[in-house]
Amino acid sequence: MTTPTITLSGVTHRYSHAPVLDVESLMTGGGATAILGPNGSGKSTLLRLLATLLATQSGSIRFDGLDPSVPIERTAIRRRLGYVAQNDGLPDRMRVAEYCDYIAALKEIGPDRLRRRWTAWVLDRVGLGDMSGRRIRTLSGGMKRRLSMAQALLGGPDLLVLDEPLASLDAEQRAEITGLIARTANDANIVVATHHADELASVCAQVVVLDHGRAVFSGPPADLATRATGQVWEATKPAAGASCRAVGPGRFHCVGGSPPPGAEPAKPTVADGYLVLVKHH
Amino acid sequence: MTSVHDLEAALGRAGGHPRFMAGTAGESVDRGRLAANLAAIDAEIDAPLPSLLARLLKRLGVGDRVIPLVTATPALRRSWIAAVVVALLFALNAASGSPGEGTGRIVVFLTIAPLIPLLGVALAFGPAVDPTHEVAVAAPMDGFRLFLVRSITVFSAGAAMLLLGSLLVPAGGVARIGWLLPALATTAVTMAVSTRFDPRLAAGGVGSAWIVLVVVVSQAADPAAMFGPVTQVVSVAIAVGGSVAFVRQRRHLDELSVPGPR
Amino acid sequence: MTLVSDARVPTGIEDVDLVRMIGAGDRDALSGLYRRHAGWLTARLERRCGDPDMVDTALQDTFLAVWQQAGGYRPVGEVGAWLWTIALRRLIDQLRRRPPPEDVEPMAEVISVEIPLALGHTEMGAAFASLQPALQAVMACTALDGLTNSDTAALLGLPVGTVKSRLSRAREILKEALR
Repeated sequence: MTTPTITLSGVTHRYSHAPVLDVESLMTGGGATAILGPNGSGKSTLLRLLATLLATQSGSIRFDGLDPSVPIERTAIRRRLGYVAQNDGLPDRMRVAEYCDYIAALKEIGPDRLRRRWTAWVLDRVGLGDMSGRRIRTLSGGMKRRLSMAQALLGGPDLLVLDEPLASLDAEQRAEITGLIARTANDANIVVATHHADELASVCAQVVVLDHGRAVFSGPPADLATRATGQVWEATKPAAGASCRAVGPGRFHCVGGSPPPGAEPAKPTVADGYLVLVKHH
Repeated sequence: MTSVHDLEAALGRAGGHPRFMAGTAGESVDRGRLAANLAAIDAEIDAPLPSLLARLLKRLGVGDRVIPLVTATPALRRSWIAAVVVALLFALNAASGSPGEGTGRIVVFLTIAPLIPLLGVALAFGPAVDPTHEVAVAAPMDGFRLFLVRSITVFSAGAAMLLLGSLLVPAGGVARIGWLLPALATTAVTMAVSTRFDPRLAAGGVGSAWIVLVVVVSQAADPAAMFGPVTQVVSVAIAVGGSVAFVRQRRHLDELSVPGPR
Repeated sequence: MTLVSDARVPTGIEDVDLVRMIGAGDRDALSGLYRRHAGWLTARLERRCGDPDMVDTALQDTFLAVWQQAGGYRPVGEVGAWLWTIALRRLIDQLRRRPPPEDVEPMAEVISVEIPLALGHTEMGAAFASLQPALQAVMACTALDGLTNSDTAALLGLPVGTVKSRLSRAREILKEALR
């Protein structure tokens, strides 16, 4: 398996003088990388830099040695890139197959017969094989997200940049997309921004936590989980000062705070480690 | 005793037995290739029928790599309908008036007509009107090429309708198509400005400037003179200048110009 | 010979029946027919055209045509011969749109593989072998594949006039040789 490696060094980015990203050094490759971080932590900016949509203001990014600030090399990177934007970016009036054909044409796949083959292949891959004639506006939210994934897979990219592919989906749909990411991780280097740490961490080899534009953690998911060791407990009710979530009827999984009487220590998850880390900063 | 005819007949008979011919040759064709071709056949059979527009373009000889870019143009229908409406209104209006008062009406038409392709360009490209914009920028195809294809598309769709409308009326002579070169000029400038600004903003600015210009000139001189030879020549010059600026600024179309983080 | 076995179509079924089933809209039958015939069709098309993309497209076009035309198929002669006629037709359609790459090698293969199979070590085979390659190629197209002069011209990338003159020269030489 040889998927491209991406290296960032000294990358900073500002919008009208407000710094949003300041990443000392970062490397991805050899499996999927999850980017975690609160809203406004610079996730989308980082992803857009990785998708070559924004020019680097300072520092450097290299994709297998290719420099996105050189137009020819940027095009070469884009030939190997699949991108899922945060808002899906689907034109409601188009038909599913027509949309794939259009994106395939933008990816310079031709002639038309080859595009139709790619379209059939990617739609099959995401389980939309029967939907090719449907108008996009008639698809459910989960189907739209799968279509978004399908367009990213056109042309067989070896680098996938996915901006919040699990956002606003229900648990079942999230599992579908996560499964798709896991299956694709063998053929491509995937960078995926998400709020669903636990679900995606299971399929990612690396996790990066962004906070206020800085990469405050970078390593295997298990290492992130250990950051919460000794601070995770489960009880029948949540407690003040702790981040709690319901994990069953009358059962709460909490991080931090002071455990109430009767609370039992629990095994920390990646999401727990993330919460501890972000709170700490 | 054999003849050439016998020889050709023998060859002909053999040609009709393809399995004998190929089977004994003992070649084997790569299985992956055969499977890929079968997948292609399946995809062809399963593909939905292309849209009417796509089939029409194919008939007209438009390249198959360009057709999807044309058919995916946002607001293509809207700008086309706007052109039809303006052209029809002009045709009806001109047909109903008496020959003497035709000039004023033609000037109004000549002023409005160039705005139609501008409207098309404004609604055909950019993050504000095209939900696929971000994905399109991340694709290897030049933003320049995409914008150009779409602008040509909306321009030709609009101009064709306007041309038809203006040729339908008997009045006005050659002056009826006096809008065409100004339309080219304003569109070229809009495209150049759109490399740095939202195309809607660019079209709005250029369109307003055009109307102000026509009004000012009309106050000072005969309105019909506005569309005389001088304007036509100047239009060509502006169209060329706009196109050059557009080509020179093309690199800006390959990046996202988002104002701030979301 | 690439004969990929297909679980969905039993080997006992005749080609003609497969075509009838395709005519009734049976996709499995289409894959079945493809698996039986695609291998040799590809190999044989490659002897006529050196561009693998063109060959692949012609092959795809062939089975797409079969899918559309199978309903009206009248069984005269072998299904294989019918397929070959379509395939060659599709290849030439493409060559008419886009000239072939400057490459006469493929026809040389026809001459070295198919002609000996058709004529054997006979007086006719010897006579044919006495022709120069350019004349053999024209002869193979018209006699073996039954192509018209204009189709031969498209396949070989020659003007029709050249095909005609080479053909009559070939016939004269053969007449001499067979006397």
